[in-house]
Amino acid sequence: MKELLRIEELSVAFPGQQQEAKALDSVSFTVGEGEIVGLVGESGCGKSLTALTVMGLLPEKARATGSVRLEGRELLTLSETELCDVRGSQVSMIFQEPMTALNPLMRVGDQIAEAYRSHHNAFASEARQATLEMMRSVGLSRVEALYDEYPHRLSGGMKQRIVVAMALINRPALLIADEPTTALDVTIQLQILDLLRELQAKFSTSVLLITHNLGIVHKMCSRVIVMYAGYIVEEGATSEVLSKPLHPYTRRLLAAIPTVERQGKALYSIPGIVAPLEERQTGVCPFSQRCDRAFAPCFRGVPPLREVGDRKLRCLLPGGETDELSIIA
Amino acid sequence: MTRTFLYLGKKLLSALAALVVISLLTFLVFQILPGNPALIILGVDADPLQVEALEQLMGIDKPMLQRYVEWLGGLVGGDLGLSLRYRVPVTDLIASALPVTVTLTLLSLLITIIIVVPVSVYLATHNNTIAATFLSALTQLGVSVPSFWLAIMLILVFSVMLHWFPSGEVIPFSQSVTGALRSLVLPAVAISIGTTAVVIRYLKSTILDEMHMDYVRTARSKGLSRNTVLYRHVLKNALLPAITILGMITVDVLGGSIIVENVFNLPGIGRLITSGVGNRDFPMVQALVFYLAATVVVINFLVDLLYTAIDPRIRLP
Ligand SMILES: Nc1ncnc2c1ncn2[C@@H]1O[C@H](COP(=O)(O)OP(=O)(O)O)[C@@H](O)[C@H]1O
Ligand code: SF4
Ligand SMILES: [Mg+2]
Repeated sequence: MKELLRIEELSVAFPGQQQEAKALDSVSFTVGEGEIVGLVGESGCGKSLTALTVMGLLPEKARATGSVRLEGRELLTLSETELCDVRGSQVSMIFQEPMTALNPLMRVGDQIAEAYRSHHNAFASEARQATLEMMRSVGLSRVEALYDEYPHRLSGGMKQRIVVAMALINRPALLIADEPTTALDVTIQLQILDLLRELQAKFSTSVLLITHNLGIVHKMCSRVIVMYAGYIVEEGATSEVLSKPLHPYTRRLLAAIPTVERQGKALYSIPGIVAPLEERQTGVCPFSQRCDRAFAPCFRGVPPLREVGDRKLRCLLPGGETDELSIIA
Repeated sequence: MTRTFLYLGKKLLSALAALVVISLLTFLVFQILPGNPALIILGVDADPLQVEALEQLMGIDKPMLQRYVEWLGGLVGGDLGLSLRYRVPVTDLIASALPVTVTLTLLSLLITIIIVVPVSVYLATHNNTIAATFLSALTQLGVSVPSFWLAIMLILVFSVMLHWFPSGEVIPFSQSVTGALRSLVLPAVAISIGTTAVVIRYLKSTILDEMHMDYVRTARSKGLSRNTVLYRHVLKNALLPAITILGMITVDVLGGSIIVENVFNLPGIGRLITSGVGNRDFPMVQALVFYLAATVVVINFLVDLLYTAIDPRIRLP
């Protein structure tokens, strides 16, 4: 598989009270052409920041170091003007909240057409045609009438379809979907996921799918990257990671999924939360505060991300947590 | 569509109700106010018989309800009685003063809008630069300087010292349009500085708020530049809440013109009110108070109309 996105040693820091706080630390991974890669972890692990770094839309006070290359081209050093050419054309992004993602005072069709026109030297009529066609592709009907509607008249699912249309109208090589269905009803979630899958195959787009839902990863992704507190802690083929998690954190995430057998019983959720950025201990395993397998060496340094077969693991346990656990597979 | 009409109908009804309440209040206040109009005209030591005769002539002896209804009729029909002081119809006095005040108000609003939009955008986009901090401090000053003081300073500098603008006279429009406008520029500036400063601070903060909204991030992720997003997306959203304070601004400007007309000696409604109050010219003041209040109601209704036209969400209450 040809490589599309390569992130190397990416760190993102925010200025803090005493010292900089690193929200992302030495993040490295790749996304291949036409691949759907999952990025999972609880809230606050740095998934969105990773996405925003690729988009060149980090908050102003954030400082990024390392390397983000798209088709070999370094993005971190691009000028703002150059980034505008990349955004929406080579990389697009879908955000979590369809209810607020659209400008309430602009017709939805015009908002899609605007994405087209900012990367094509097109007449209004041409942009309109492209927009209507894209609206049909995302499964919307009565598109002529829908073009002139304002966002508040559309349901959450329809709005998310509009956002998908907007993101894909320029056929980007990479689509980043940041929790695209978290805010939607379960049935609508499935529809949107199916749509993403269908369009990704049709346009052979690569997708970086951010979610905290391993069920979605199972359904959508060939490969999965697990993040915790700014670090990648595990990476591998979805089927392997989900059937045989190596990292204690991944294992806990898996155990927290509600399944048919466990319905009715108390939902097992992971005790504790991801520590807020300012309160994170440095120089220890990022998961050590919540890990029930922690032993002395875990507090002596950040474990390296090492290769275990064709997987990657950031844990000092020799083979990771290798107990049998097959909830999904 | 019917929803829109229903909404506007409701607004219209409430505006009408407000007008009725205002007329009633104005009327009642002037009933309670001490001072017998007949005595005011004839002097305190007038012959009681003469006073009684005049009271009859003026209709003061009629029952209150009847007088209220007659007054209402007069308000609508434009017959507001004679000015106690000038002995000419109040309507004529208002008609001659109105153009001055209307022009002054419109000019002040125009100045306000012309300054507010670019300065707010600049302040919002150049937050924390030296120039922006300086401008921000200037608006703080503008908020706190009273308009009459500003008016006096403007006269001193631009009329007395520099002779750029005339002062103390108003050139009628019939004589020279540019001349008339020139004589109104300084007063309009004096009125608008305070309002401008208030609105700049308001609009700047709404622009800053809007820039953190999700739709801005979406627009940026399409590849639009910061400026394009600002002008095509943010500004309209930020101006929308600003429209709601447009009514407040107009009221501000009207109030300012009453003070500033007196400083600049302009023959507008403001000076009419001041002289009316000074002379206890009840019929005139009563009418003017009602009309000013009514203007505010009408302006707020128009602002609602404007809002409905701009905000698509209103149609789904
Ligand atoms: N603008 C910001 N200023 C300071 N800290 C931030 C900012 N944005 C995000 N962070 C911090 O970075 C960490 C990762 O955030 P994020 O990428 O949004 O997490 P996720 O998307 O995985 O939930 C969090 O601890 C968050 O508090
Ligand atoms: S390194 Fe230690 S603390 Fe960290 S996950 Fe592995 S066992 Fe737990
Ligand atoms: Mg997030």
